Amino acid sequence: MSQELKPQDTSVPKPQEERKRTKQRRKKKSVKFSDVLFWFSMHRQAALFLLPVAAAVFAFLIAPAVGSSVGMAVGSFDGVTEGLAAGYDEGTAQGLSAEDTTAIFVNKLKETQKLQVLLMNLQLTDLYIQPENKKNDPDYAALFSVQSRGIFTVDLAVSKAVEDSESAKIVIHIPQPKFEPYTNDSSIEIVEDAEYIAPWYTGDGRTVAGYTGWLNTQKQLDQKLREEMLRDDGPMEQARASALRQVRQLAESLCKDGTTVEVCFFEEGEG
Amino acid sequence: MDRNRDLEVINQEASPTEKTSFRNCPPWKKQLLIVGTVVLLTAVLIMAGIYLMKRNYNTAKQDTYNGFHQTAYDFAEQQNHVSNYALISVDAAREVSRLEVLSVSDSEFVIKNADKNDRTISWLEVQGTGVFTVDLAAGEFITDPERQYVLVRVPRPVLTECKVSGTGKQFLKRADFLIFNGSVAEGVQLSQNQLKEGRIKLEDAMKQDRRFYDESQKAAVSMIESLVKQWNPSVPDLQVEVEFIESN
Repeated sequence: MSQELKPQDTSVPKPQEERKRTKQRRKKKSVKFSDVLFWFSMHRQAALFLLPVAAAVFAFLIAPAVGSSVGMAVGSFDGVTEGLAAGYDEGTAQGLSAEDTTAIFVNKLKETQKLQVLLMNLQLTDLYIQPENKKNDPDYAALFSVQSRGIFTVDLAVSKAVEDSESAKIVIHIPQPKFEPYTNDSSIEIVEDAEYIAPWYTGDGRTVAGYTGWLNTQKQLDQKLREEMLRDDGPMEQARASALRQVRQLAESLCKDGTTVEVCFFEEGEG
Repeated sequence: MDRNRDLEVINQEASPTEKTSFRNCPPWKKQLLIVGTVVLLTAVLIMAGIYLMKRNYNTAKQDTYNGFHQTAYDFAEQQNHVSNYALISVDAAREVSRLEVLSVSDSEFVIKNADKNDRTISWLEVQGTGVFTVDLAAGEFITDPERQYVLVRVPRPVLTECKVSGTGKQFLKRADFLIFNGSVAEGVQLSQNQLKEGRIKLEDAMKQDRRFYDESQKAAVSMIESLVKQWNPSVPDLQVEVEFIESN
């Protein structure tokens, strides 16, 4: 049977008809789940292959992505509700030099056997700025003058005396001097009106910030003073010389007549 | 002839290599093996997926939380950062020979309540240490080798050093209302005043405590005795006596 080409075959289909055909095609193409099961029952090998592939896709693509997304969402919620507040609080504490040590006294009395060998009158001039990141316009800045006393001591409790009976000589080994600052809080004063207080309308901070800031400054100043004074190029040499002299004089007074006294420091790691 | 054939068949069946060969397995066994392997593999992969999901969940959650936390931390740290630039100068130095015999610790509360001018309440615990010393440079040392006797005459121990060693519990309250929360200057001044007051209170308390003097005298006697004996090891029966003299 020969096919005749009718004139309407060559004509361009109307848009409505075209849409209808597409819909029909789609209807035909839509696959039901039962069809899939049926197909797999007929092609079991394919099912056996596709199952692990699907599991692998789940394991390495879908599951991590879902995990990340949910984690990020939950993390964001926690971050907004808890993290911001917690971080702000902790940052504030750190900014004010934090780590506020609370010391509880157990023993109110403690015997020591330290010999003070060198006493120094110290003057500290401290430029205090708060907060530091607003250097050009801080809430508060002042130049404070603080009187302090620094004392070098030698711990005689760990000293060791060895006598050479033949030469009537006694050798005393002592530890290196240690430094302790005694800052006089009553002496703090502002140097020649060097004080800047920001006007309230530009923001002059909070009382609690200044309060905590200075309390922690006090601790830090003591710590820095101790570190600087114990440096080799500081007054340590003078303290060592004084320690040797003072201990020798004391020992000569306390030892029996005619005894030669020699004083030296412990070697590193000794004593 | 048939008997021989039977024997061959028996021999073939008895061959272990033939028996365990996958090819010779019945089809149902093959299918079971393949299905089992696939199911096992699938289960392992699903487990791996669950593990990865959990891991990624925790990591993403923690990272996001940390991000928020760090941002707030950095912001607050910068907003409150205190800086100090200190110059240290030595006004005077002198050699001394003072024996520290007793270190005492104490703490006092400095109370500041709100008043008409200032609505800030601040209670601060000020902790301090004091040191009782004996001035050996002002002492006398009398040795009697014949009697193996040493007499040490030194001034009584006195409180020579006192300092604020730290601050403890504090209660700070300001009647905050919107932006009216004081100023940094106010806070610095308040803490300085309380430290000053605290130090004075501590020093007074230490000077007035009779027990500290008694203990420091006992400690001084025992320390000087042990020191003299330690530095005279060749005199085992050394008699040491410590006397306190009134210093000017």
